[in-house]
Amino acid sequence: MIETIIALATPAGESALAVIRISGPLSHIIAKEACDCTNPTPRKTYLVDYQSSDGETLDQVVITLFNKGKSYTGEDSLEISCHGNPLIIELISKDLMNRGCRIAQPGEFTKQAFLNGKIDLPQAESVAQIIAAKNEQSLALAQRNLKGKLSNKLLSIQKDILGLQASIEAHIDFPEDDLIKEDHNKYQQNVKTIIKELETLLLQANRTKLLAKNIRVVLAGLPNVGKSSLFNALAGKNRALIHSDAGTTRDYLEFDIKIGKYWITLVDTAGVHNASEEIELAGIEMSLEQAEEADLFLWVIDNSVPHPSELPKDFTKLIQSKPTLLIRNKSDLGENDWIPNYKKTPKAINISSTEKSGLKQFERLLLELIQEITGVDAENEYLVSVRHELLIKNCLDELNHFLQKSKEKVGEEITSLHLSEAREKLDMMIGRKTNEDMLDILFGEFCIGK
Amino acid sequence: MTLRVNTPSKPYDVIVCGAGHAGCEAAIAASKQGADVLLLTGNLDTIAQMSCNPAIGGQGKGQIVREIDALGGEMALNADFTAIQFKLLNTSKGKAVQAPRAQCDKKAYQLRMKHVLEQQPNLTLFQSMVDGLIVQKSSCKGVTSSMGLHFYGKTVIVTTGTFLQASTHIGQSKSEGGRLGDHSAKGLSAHFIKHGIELRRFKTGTPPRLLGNSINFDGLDEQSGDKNPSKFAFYDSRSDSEMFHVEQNRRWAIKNNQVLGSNLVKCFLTSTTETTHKHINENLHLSPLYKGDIVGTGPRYCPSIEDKVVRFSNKDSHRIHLEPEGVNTDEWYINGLSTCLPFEIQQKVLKSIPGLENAKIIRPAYAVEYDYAPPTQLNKCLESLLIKSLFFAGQINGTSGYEEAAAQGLIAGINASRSALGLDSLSIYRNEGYIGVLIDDLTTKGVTEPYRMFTSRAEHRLLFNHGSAEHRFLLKSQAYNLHSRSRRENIRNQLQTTDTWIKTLETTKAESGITYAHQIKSVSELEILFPESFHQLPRSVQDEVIYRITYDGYLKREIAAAKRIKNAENLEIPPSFSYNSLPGLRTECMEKLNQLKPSTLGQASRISGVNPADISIIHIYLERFTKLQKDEGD
Ligand SMILES: Cc1cc2nc3c(=O)[nH]c(=O)nc-3n(C[C@H](O)[C@H](O)[C@H](O)COP(=O)(O)OP(=O)(O)OC[C@H]3O[C@@H](n4cnc5c(N)ncnc54)[C@H](O)[C@@H]3O)c2cc1C
Ligand SMILES: Nc1nc2c(ncn2[C@@H]2O[C@H](COP(=O)(O)OP(=O)(O)OP(=O)(O)O)[C@@H](O)[C@H]2O)c(=O)[nH]1
Ligand SMILES: [Mg+2]
Repeated sequence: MIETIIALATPAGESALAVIRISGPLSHIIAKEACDCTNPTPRKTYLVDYQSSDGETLDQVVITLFNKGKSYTGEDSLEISCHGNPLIIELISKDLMNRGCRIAQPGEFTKQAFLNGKIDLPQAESVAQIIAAKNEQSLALAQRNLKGKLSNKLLSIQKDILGLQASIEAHIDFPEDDLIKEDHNKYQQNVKTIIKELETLLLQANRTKLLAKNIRVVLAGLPNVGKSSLFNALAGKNRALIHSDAGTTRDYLEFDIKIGKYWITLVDTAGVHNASEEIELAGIEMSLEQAEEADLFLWVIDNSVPHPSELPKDFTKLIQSKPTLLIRNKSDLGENDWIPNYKKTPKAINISSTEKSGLKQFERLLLELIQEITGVDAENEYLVSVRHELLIKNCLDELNHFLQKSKEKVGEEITSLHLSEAREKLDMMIGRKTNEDMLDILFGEFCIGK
Repeated sequence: MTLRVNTPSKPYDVIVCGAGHAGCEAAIAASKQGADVLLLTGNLDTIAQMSCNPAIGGQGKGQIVREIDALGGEMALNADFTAIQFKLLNTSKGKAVQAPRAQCDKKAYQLRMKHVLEQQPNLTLFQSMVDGLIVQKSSCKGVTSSMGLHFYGKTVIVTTGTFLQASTHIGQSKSEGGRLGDHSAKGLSAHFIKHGIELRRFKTGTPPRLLGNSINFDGLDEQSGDKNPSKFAFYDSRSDSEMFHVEQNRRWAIKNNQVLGSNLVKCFLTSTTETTHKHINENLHLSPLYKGDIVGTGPRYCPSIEDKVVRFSNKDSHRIHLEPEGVNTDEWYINGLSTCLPFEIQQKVLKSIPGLENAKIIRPAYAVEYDYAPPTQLNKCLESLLIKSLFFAGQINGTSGYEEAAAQGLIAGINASRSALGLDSLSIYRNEGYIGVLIDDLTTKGVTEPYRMFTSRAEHRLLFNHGSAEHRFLLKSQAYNLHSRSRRENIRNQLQTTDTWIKTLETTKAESGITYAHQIKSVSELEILFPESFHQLPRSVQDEVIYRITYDGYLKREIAAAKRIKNAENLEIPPSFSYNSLPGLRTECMEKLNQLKPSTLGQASRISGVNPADISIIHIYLERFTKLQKDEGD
């Protein structure tokens, strides 16, 4: 029995259309039952209504069927192009899972293609490497998403679920031991808390677009060097206040721009120096916070002054630890071409924010740096994050089933099953936990043994 | 039967070493396969002895005993016929995790099993200590034993339990022996090591035994058995001759049967006090566990009382169960008080426990430390990967528990005899039942503490409800000839009846206008007015029908998932396959795989630290490997 797997094949939300790719024996059945399209001619497109198993029309979609042996994976395949609306994608994916499909593992389509002889033997190595890379990327993305919050949160939720299971399993497997009485209300309470946390996570993710995380680029430097001017120049509009007085910017300011394929959140900060005024100090404190969360620094200096003084120590350290581009601004006034005396000299560029000179070259340098740090292209990353989102939603479904079944009082072996399934979804994002891990908690927490 | 002429050219088919729970099942199963079997054991009086508590079954274990019965083993009948109290555990939970347990009369259990062995055709029982292996060209040809005897066999099964280089500890006092008062097996360990088989150390312990008339039972909580015993063996499919094969024999007094096999005794409950814990804490330094005299790892689920007091210091009391060891003795087993503290302290500890103030110890508590052979050195037929025709079963494989031992004995017995007879081997997979989980866990993951079954070890335990064991193993029992033809027919008919009734109840409407199946899923079984003919079915069939209807959706899901396991199980990893230099495979994962050498992709996927992506990579290279090999062959 081969399973039917699904994955999103396009970066949704970017364009008007999204493509969901299905591979496996259910392809024909889905064409027939969800799209009312019996025996479609392969490779021909059909405009149909997609109907969920509950009989609800989810979207008008275009489907294309590929027969076994003639598709990318070599299995029966179906491509569904739907509207790029995330909600529609989610509903269709969920329905596909109800119909027996499973979300693909990283690289699984390529693997199927290989196993079906669609990719030949000498390429095995590259296939394996793709899978390894995709897996790495998936883990790395979970780490980076929401500034690491996603993976931390998921890890802690995974632990919570294991703990819950440990308690339930202790009572199933050691019914005659003198255990703390089972508190079903507490189980439900705990699961409700987990559900809330996951929902908040999704909400945050959706609102800030951080699941497909923007790269945070922070402008830092001494006061009055022209950070805000550069910010405005890149944003293409006057968002930040600019003034010839030092210390103009007090609060930080964000603006999303796109450079190449990448979405970037540009952050303007207050100039840092050894300030005395309290409000200024608060601003500088905030700049430091921003600097800590930066993926990439734009260190702005004034190229027209003879000796740009160094930044406070905290910053110097951060700047040396993260990818940094040195921007020598105000090059229209003079070119001092200062270079910091660091172990690793950052790439530097001379520009003028007011004259808007050197900006094209600056963008090119920035793009290079971004590619260096992401190592993968943004499209893929977006797909991975959509997969994460779906998995989290799956996990939520199982947890809600847990609650429902607990109310029906069906027996712990059933409720525990839903917890296992919920955990499995997390495992797919952040690494697998086994029954042994559960037993470790169980024996650590419960005094077992007559 | 006397010992027959036995030479290298006229070997036994199977030689079993040690008549514990594993050895007995192994010998019986082998002889049922038609093999000529020799069972050697150190002492005929300790055949099938329960070294520890006088009970068979319990969570996970009870299901195993039923599976043993479904695969033609003896343990279920032996427990049923010698039981003195029955209990079905987890009745407040779902049926998937309910399990039978029985207190047995220890002596009767042993004697009955001994008599089964005595009567079994082609089985020779002989008292002798095995002290060495006869190995030629990495293949086992027999054993040497005390009195300088040599026994030749086409296959050898080692079931020596806790006896290898065994030492028992009571406080500072240490002596040799696999049980207190028993022998220790010495020569064998050296032989294993010589042949490259790795050995490690485990420990386990047992509580003191008390004289019943010195216990004050007044005021202690009574624990009696269930009114309707839930037995281990499947009776609906059996003919009398398959039920009373021992009892029919005149030598086995049938009157015994009239007493045993029902609820005869009560157990009692008491608990430790603060004084108990004080004594223990004050004397910890005298426990060999804490002094470091015992190096072997003990089971976390069977901690000594000193462990419980230390690790759970916030608990001011621990439960103690008092269980009779039989009906013809007043010896009581003190469940929960396993320890290796010195004898004087044991007495002090007892005095601090309600009801035991004046109790007399007739056997002290002790710990035993022994060699085991890490089971990753075996294939799933339980045959050694290093020495051909040498099988291992029971506690020697790092497990603990009578049921786990018996199950392995059964599988090793079937496989050793089939190998000797030139027949194909039997593997039980983890999607088929607890025995499959047991063997798969042992042979792929190995053990870090004495291994015991928990239902949570099975990914798909909903499929493994104890009532379905016969149905689940019908095909296997057919293919490997594990039952009489009539029993097989009966099981098949039952399965058919079950399937038919499920369909009937799914389609027939009750008076209320909704289908029976719907009712079963929504209201309690007792509220349903089933058709009269349903009630006429055997209880076991009714139960199974209701179970399968209740969990219908879940079972379908589980079956699909279990199939996935099976598919991956079909992808064998040849021994010559190398994980080194597979691009993309993480080092940590590579090391694990090199060490554990899984034999299928399915096994590999269950190793902790091996992620789905790693499995994909291995899968790809496996495919390449087999294709290249085929190309070379062409
Ligand atoms: C002190 C103690 C405490 C235990 N506590 C628990 C517990 O709390 N829970 C639990 O589940 N299990 C416990 N057990 C384990 C349980 O008794 C075993 O798991 C089970 O009996 C193992 O069965 P077996 O057939 O593998 O070996 P055993 O029952 O140990 O039988 C081995 C047999 O082999 C014979 N033998 C050994 N060496 C040789 C030789 N060289 N030649 C010939 N014959 C030989 C012995 O005489 C014996 O009859 C305990 C065991 C002991 C000793
Ligand atoms: N000639 C010239 N002037 C510039 C350039 N960039 C900025 N300036 C001027 O420098 C002054 C400070 O500019 P800002 O952008 O406010 O500087 P800032 O770094 O944001 O300052 P703070 O917010 O106070 O830290 C303004 O008067 C700008 O017009 C440039 O490239 N060339
Ligand atoms: Mg500014």
